[in-house]
Amino acid sequence: MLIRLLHLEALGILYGLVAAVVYQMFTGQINLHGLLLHKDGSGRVSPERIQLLVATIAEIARFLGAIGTTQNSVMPDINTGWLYLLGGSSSVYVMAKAWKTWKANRNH
Amino acid sequence: MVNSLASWCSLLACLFLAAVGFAVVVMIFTGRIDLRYLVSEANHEASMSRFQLLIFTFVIAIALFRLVELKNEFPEIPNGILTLLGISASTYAVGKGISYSDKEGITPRDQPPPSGLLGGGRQGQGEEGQAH
Repeated sequence: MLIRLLHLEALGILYGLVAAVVYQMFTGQINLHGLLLHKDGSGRVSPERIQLLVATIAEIARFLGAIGTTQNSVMPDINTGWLYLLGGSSSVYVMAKAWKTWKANRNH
Repeated sequence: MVNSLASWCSLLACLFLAAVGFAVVVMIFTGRIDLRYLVSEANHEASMSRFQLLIFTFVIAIALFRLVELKNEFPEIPNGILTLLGISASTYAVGKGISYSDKEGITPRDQPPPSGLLGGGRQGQGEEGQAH
């Protein structure tokens, strides 16, 4: 009985938290303004943010697919190729951000 | 006697955790815990690295929960998953460092009200209680 209660409790808290955050994102209560835009106020779309978003979505889709088809209840590993992809994507994002910040500081 | 006491303590701890978790979720839904700037930088603009870390955290937590449900034991976490979270968290930390190295990165900008995926927004609230 206690284990059943703990199970329901964990289920409720985890999915409740996820539901709350996703709901607030969709209704605008969590600010997503400028998520994919340059931060210089120009309103232009930022390619490095787009590629990071695409890499993230691809990685999540692959991981959820692996979880859905796992037979022996073992957490699926992420192969090195995908880690290189995500590491590269994140590096591009960070370097672009650093470059723009450095340029902005130099112009001031 | 001791077993009975242990059972009661377990039940009490379980109920306490449930109450805390339920209170947190309800307070988030009702807006008493303000998550408006959960994925925003100090200048109130949304950050892709924070967003990515949030999504990865949720996805891996849900996957872990599902596997625990299936096997009734805590599965071993592969190194690939830990590396993935490490990359994401490092990106967030470095991004935060870069933002704080520039004055503009920590100065809130005049901008439209917070907008979400459907374009709505929370109106008429103060700036207190921000989640950074």
